[in-house]
Amino acid sequence: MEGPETDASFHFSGIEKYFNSYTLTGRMNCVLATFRGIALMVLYFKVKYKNTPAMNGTLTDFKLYLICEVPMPGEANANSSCNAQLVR
Amino acid sequence: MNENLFASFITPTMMGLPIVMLIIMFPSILFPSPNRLINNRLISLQQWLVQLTSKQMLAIHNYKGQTWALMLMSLILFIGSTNLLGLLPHSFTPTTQLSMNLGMAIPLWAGTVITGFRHKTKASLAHFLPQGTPIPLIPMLVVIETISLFIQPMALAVRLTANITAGHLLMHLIGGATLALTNITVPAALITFIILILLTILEFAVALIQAYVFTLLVSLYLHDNT
Repeated sequence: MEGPETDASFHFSGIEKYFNSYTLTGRMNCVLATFRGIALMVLYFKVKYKNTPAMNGTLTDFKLYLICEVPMPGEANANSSCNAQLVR
Repeated sequence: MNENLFASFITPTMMGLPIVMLIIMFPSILFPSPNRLINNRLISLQQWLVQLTSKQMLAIHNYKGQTWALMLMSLILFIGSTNLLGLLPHSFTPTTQLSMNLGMAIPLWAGTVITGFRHKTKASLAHFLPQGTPIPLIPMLVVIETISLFIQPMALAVRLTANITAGHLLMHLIGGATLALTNITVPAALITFIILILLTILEFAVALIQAYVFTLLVSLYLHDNT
């Protein structure tokens, strides 16, 4: 059965004293470190993509007109031409 | 036929007023309160049953866990009596509604978790990591254990809802099939009728077992946190 009394039977040194999967303290610290790591990752991605918007500019309505001159079938020296006109 | 199949799960109304609260409160009037030192046979039998269940259920708990005795006994009596009353023809069973079962499961589960975090914070946090986990697997297992913790109330509620709803639907279907077969072939109708009787006996057992399982799981979550 796990508990403070069985924790004394484990002898770790260095960083393993605080982060291991055997003692109560070690497991708690691993869990907290995992949660903090996930929270940091979420915060990082939120801040990173908050400062780069997809599009700059103001929303405005435009109409695009394509005006073409198409010659009649019987006309001589006829050329078709098209003009594009952007109207706000 | 399709509309009639689910008609028994619609919230009941009487003259336009919803009576679901009355139906939920109804089982409580079926349990008489002991008002004498030595009571009549019915109350004595009720007391004996409650004592038997509470002794068996609270044996694993320490002092703190045993303060939940009243809650756990009320829970098992309520769910058991509601499920059994739902087996009466044309009755409404509140425990077929997921909303009601979630309303029972989430507060009880949250109560056990909050109790654990308040009184044994270190042990409750350490529970998220099984002892002896290899180091490379630690982050993944912490995430998995967190998900399994939050799945617990959903599983509690859905288990009860699905079991009771499925049983009632099956009884409805097989009852309808028996009636339909009576006009076609009587031997087949007899076989279906026998199946219906066996299913009804099973549903009586399921009604009590599901009440016990729900309460036992809440009791186990409490034991983990006290």
